[in-house]
Amino acid sequence: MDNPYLPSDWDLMEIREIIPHHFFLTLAPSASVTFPAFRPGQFFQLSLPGVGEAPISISSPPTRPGTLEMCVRRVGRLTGAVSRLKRGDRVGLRGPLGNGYPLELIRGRDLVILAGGLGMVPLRSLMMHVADTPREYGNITVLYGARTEGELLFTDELFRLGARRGIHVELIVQENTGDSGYRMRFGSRVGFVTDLIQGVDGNPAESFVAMCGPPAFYRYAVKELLTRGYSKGLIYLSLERRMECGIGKCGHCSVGYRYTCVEGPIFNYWDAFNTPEMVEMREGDPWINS
Amino acid sequence: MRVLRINGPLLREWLEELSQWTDLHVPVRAGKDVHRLEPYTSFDRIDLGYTRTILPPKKFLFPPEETLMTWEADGTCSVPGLPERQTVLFGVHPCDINGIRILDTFFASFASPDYYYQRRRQGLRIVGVSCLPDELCFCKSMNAENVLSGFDLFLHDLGDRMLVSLGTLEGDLLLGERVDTLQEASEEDLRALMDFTARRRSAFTLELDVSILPQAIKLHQSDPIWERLGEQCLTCGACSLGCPTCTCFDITDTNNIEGGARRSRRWDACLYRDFARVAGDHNFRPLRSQRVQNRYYHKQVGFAEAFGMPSCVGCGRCIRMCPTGIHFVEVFKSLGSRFLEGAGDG
Amino acid sequence: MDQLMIGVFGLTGCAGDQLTLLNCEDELLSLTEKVRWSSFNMATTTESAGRMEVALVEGSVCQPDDIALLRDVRERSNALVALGTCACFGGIAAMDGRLDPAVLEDAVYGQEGRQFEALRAQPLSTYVQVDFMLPGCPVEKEQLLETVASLLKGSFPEIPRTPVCADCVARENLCLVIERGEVCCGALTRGGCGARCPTLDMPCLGCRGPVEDAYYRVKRHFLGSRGVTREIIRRKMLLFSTPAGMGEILEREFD
Repeated sequence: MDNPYLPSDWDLMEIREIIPHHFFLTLAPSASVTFPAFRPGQFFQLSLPGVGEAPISISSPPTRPGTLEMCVRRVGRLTGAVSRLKRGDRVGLRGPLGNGYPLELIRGRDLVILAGGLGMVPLRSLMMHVADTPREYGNITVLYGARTEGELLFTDELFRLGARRGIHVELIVQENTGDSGYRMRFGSRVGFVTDLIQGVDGNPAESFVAMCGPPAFYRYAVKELLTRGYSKGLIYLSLERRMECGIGKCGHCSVGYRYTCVEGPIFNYWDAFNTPEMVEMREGDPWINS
Repeated sequence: MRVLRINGPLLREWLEELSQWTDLHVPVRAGKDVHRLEPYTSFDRIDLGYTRTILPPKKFLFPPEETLMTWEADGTCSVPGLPERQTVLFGVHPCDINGIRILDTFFASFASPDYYYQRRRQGLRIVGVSCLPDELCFCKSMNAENVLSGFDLFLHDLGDRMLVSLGTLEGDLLLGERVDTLQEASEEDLRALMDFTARRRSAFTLELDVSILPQAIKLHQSDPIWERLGEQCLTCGACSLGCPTCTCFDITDTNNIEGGARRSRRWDACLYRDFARVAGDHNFRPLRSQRVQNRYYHKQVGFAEAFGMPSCVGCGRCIRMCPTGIHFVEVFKSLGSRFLEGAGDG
Repeated sequence: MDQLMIGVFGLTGCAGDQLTLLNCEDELLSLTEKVRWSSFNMATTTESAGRMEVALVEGSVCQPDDIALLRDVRERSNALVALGTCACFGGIAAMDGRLDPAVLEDAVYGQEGRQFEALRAQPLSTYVQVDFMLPGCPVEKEQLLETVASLLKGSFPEIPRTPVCADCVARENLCLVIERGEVCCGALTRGGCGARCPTLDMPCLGCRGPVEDAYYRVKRHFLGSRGVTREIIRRKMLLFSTPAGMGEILEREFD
């Protein structure tokens, strides 16, 4: 009988604080572990003995096996302990867990990526996967926003990717704090990610949209996407919930009759909006008021 | 199904013997009208006519706290073993047997069956016993008053006689050689068993029409009843922890001074404030009323949609255990009846 | 392994939490190998005025001296742990925070009492930033050891945030409220004690301090409906279950 609660041993090859409080990890399987197959959008339970576990998205694409990349924001006990890890430390991983993006549905289509804040982390895996296999997919448009430019992740990478044929990258911030590098590369866009949707090229009805961001952002983004002719069946979003077990047992992530950790975290927008509690609005959200 | 005759002296002799080679648990009185399944010490402590135990048999399969793994200071990880002896639960009521069947389905679900539940389940034997309902039992409404399988043996205490049904090979083996010396039940015995079943059926006083429940709950998401329940509920969690089919847990790591660590799981309840809180302090169900509503929704609608049956067997524990007197059945009756009224108006 | 520099300090209180540390007899040797005590009046005469990694501070703040000591300790420590219910919530000393300290002084010492400079009892967090709270009266030995063990690894432990009822049900106790109409503060109180008192047939006094969303009103309401007087309930709750300064809020909840 398999014990799905037992983590496997991985070695931390590198840890870097890429922007304040955000740590980028490169992990390699220890000698006894086989590098697992996974899909973009899946996650692992990152485990530190004596500290605990937390669900962490995979940030690297399946097209670059051998090591896994993750990006962790220091917010809680586990992520605090992760931020103090050093190269060569051993960590536990359980997974891959969750459903991941439906690549078979994306194949042959243009891909529109909408990311808000930390939402870029799981979407980086999808973005790089598609970029690495350009023959199987159409064009990629990445629309990525954060509160300030200092909070934008992977900007160097995005800049390089955006220079490639068939890949278009646009960044936007809510407040322009005046970083010159940002202005030079991307122009000084101020506003919300959703403001960028109207400028996307291609046939909206046939494009696949992958979104990840704060919950209220979805409501506004979906409205905009539907207005612009994107297909209901091709809009997918990613949900965050408290997860302890990652295998549909502990109950913390259950929403309606779905277990986010098994049947998600990637959901079609319709399922998400038509299941109680899945997408909620918070009072005072700028997306709601604007 | 094979049904055999058994009697008091034979039962005593059998259980005495069983207690020698298994971890035998039996119903023992805990208070005025409540019992516990406790380790067998003597036949005379067994109370076969009990109504309900405080905790359901879930505690043997999914204990309140369970160590998942431990680490030595050098990082060596190990999973604790289980005792080799079989655990035998003697005197489990049909509602609780049905509860275990729901747990079996749930813990086996998705791609990753629950290792810890399953290994305990493999070593667990269940001897059912017949019962009569009290004013809190609504297993009949939940279609959980009878069992045709899910037990290894089932004892029918009909007052003037005792019969035992054989459910599995394991049950047969529990009886040992005795099984060949016990008489087969006569036609008359079986008639008496059917009579008892019919008598029992008419003894229920608490009933609930569950056919419209899921729809009522699903359509009445913003019914004022949830607000009211939120005001009445202490969120002590007793109804969930004591529920034969509630399975939520929390995983926690602890360290010891020698540098080792332990990862364990502990019962949790969706009524507790932290239940849906994520790192960064966002809480998906900050309000008491949201948490109460979620519990009702999950058990009667959500679970049914995911697994084909509600996660409720009508054992009445949540009613018995609520310190503020929230009555599960009354809640649903009130919701259901207003739902029907509403339909009439329309 | 480098030893962890820990200081143990007591403000106004009974020193029961420090004593719990000394009562860890089986682990003391291990502890002393791994920890260097910057200060621990009960165990050592060593007293350092330098920095420490962790300060464990028990007791509530009841006198100006307490404030001075607490601020100094905070200044010198990387992490400050409130040890015990007094340090976390005010505890017994904050029982009825609405009373003027002068009234209490008179009641206990008469006119002589005026020589003390007493403040309304407050938890540590009223004056300084607290990094971790370990409640209990006294703290549970296992949780204290877990805390030190976690600190040795550079993090704080995860202690239960569920109410005493969770522990009580897990032990398959009879509910004293349901069975006997007792005023039990279990549902209002942080668990993690294994429901020590209800297991011994005594209602919970609330000694581990309130859960995050203690629901005083419904507690009063349903106990009231069982014939328990409002005053009895109020007194029980004020003893421990309400944090310092909550007296007035409690009154409002009761009306």
